[in-house]
Amino acid sequence: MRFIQMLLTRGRALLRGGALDDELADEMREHLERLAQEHVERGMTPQAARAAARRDFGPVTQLVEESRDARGVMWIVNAWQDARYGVRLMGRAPGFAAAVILTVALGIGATTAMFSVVYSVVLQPLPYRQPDRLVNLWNTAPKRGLTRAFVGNANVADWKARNHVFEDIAVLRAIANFNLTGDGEPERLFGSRVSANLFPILGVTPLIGRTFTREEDQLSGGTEERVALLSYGLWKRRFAADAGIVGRTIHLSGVPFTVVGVMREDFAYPTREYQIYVPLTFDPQELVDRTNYSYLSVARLKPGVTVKQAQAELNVISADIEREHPKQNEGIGAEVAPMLTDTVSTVRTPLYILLAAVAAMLLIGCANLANLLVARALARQRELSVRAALGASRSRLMAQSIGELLPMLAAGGALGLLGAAWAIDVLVPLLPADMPRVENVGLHLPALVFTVAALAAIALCVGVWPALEASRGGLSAAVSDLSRGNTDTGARSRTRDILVIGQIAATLWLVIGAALLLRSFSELRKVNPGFNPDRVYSLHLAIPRSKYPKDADVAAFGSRILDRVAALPDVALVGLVNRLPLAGGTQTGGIAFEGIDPKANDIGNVDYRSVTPDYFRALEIPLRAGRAFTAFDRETAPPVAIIDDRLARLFGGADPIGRRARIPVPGFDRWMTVVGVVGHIRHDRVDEDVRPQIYFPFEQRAQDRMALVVRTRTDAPAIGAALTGAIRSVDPEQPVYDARTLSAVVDRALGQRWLQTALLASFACIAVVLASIGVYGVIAYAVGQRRREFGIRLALGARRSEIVRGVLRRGVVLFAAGGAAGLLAAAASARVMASLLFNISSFDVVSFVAATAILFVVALAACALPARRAAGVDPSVALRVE
Amino acid sequence: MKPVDLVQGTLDLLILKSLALEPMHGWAIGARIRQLSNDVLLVQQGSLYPALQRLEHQGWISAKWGVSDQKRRAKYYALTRAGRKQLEKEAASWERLAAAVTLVVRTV
Repeated sequence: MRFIQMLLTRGRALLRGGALDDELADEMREHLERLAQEHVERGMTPQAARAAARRDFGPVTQLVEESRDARGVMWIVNAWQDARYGVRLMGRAPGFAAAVILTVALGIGATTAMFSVVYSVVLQPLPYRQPDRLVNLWNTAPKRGLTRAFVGNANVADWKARNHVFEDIAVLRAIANFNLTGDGEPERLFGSRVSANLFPILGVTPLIGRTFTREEDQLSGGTEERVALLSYGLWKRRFAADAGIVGRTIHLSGVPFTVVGVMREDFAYPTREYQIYVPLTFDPQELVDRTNYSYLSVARLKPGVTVKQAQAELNVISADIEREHPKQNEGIGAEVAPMLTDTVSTVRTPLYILLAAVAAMLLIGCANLANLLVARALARQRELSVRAALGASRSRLMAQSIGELLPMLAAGGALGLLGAAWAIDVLVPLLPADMPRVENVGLHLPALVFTVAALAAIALCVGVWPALEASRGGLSAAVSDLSRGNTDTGARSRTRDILVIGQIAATLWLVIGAALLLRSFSELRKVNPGFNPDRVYSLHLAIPRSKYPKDADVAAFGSRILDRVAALPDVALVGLVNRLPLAGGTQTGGIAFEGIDPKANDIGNVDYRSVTPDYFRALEIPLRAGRAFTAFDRETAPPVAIIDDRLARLFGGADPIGRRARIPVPGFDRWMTVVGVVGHIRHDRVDEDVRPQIYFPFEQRAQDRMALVVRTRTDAPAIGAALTGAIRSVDPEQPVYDARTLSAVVDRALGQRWLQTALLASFACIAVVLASIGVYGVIAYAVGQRRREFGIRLALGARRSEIVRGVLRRGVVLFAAGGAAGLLAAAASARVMASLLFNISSFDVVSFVAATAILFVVALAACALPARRAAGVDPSVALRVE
Repeated sequence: MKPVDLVQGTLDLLILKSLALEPMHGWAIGARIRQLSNDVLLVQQGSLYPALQRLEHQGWISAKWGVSDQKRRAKYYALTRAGRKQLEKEAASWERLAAAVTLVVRTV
């Protein structure tokens, strides 16, 4: 009750302050009259009575003031007054206001956008029930150089049976891709085969229908029924959000599936790309063989169990399994990784570095703001000193300084927020599609809270200092010192110098970081991937086994496509390959050569590639020895293979042509003769050379997932539609996907590095501009303060060049101090930077020297203008009194 | 006897006490305090107003416009429920203070 009443009273005081003042005046007048009346009744003259009444009553104005203060809302009234005054000041100095607003907008916009990305990707909890109890489980094989591998079903079955730390463990195979046909264009869908318990483990329910049952889950010994769950996006896009979808039959790769449900809109597991889910089915023999490692695994920790405890228990279980199955499980361990951390592990460091970069930019901008505002406060020092002398408290002056700043901060903040929203809109499509949680990026509430907090911090830091500066010295300073225009005390210029030194340090830190990334990126561009992507167009197709059950059918379908495509006018060369380089997919396995001891020569895994004869020429992968495949290497011909020159090194100086190779897996006892050696290519990544390659003729090892590569005579992109047409003319139900030039594929592979390089470089550029403004401001101010001194020196015969040198020297000293601090900062952050660099040391001398030199030149240039002005001072200025 | 200046902070108590009987306007409160203390306590009449604003701000009294006995518009202040409790509290603590001071004055 009392609280509400207080609130009402205060609200009235705030909104109707003027009316309350009037009422108060009425009350007091009435009171005075009554007092006077009393005195008159005691026999005073009316005039004397009024004087006596006023004496009894006390000082009216002061009492009104006190009453106003007593209402407890004065600070708001004052702030409102100050803010209104601030708006008027803005109108009076629009250039100044624009500079402040732009600086704030730039800093706030950049930090808000960056913080939004960091929050959305790294910090925001995953959209599942109690997401902090979700963990990913991995197999590890440190002895084979695998710090982390997909899990085997057999191992998961053992973990499930023996652990006491997990509520449940789900298994899924993220690759279950289907050709969706019927109801329009044939389409390639990314899907996932999941165990039924995945949904309860994540704690998600479907929007309509149901998820999978235990009976549909082969892990629990169920049957292989054809049921499917749709993602919200697929349901809306392809089935027009049909409410009666449940129970409908759809055709996936030629096989009928019954739709049992639709997931909710925010469900994007493992990523937004996955659009369809089917029950996990696998060959029960896997549980006996224990050799298939191709699954993802998700578990929910029991309440109160830590990741560490779970890891300890899995270590024990893994050791037991290793003892029981020494042949298959030798050296195989397990890792428990918190789901969120695990999902975003590749982007966390780059994102935090970029956030630090924009924060540095914001600070550099704020230092300029502080300098600007101090300059303005000093210009108004007489006013402020007089107010202080008349009794305005220091805190009142500070509040005023902040209050006057608020309109500009609000304008800058609003502009910055708009800019951030715009930047997110523009940038998100540019983000690499495989960046984790990219679909979640947006302006969330915490980002807005962050923005407001940042603005408040700016207001405090930037607003308080000018008030402190201006109120220093008191009234005597106001009337004596100021009138002679000599206001720059030692302490004051020291603060300015420290600010500029800080700006230079932060800028140099940023520029060095940008230089390192730029150098690293140019190194990356220099890497020869082993093939030539220019004028090559690529697309993917998946051949449905339901339609082409036998390998020979697939091979025949492939060769019909090749014939049609080769007949297109612009096509020079065309080939098929089961995995396109740098496109994200891979297929690997072991290999053994006759006469090469596998114990002495650990070959490890190699890339298995099934290719058609012209593949090598289409990609310009050089043939080093022997021959390429020909049309005669069919299914019935003697098995052959081509190895890359990295594998060829196994043979020492000996000729590998004619040697025999086989896949070292029981049942694959077919020996293949090596007929050629081609150049090695980088398949997985540009920045990492992972595995050597072995190639098989497509007709001898047909694959249903294929990429078509076409070398064109003219510009590559124009060919896309014609290619799709040629494929549809062979089979109108055949979908194609991921069609783009091979150069675009390579660029996409470099996408994240390109983006972080471009962003950091632009932040560094902005920082350089801001810092040069800062240096210019400080030097110009110092020159302005010393005009009379320069005039006297010139009058006494000093040379103008000496004056110029003196001014520049100040700039050099500031730069030296800031530069040293910046170099130290760069050295301190070298370890973090190293994780972003390719082929470049994080102490790269070129980057450090170039960055320092560039910034030095810019700083010197910023000093040059004020220096010239100093040299141009008219000596007679010394005689004039302002 | 010469009137004495008000002890710091006791003005609030006096106002609350005056209002305990009935709602009053500012001038009447001043008159009541003088009258009840037999003109011993000297209240600077004007200082009632900041105090009234403060008490209203605390939610202990509420104000309403009414018509005075002289048929003029006047602002009437009344004790709220919270104000009544506050009065009891302040009166009790005043009595303790007064008793303690009296004790000290008599014994020394």
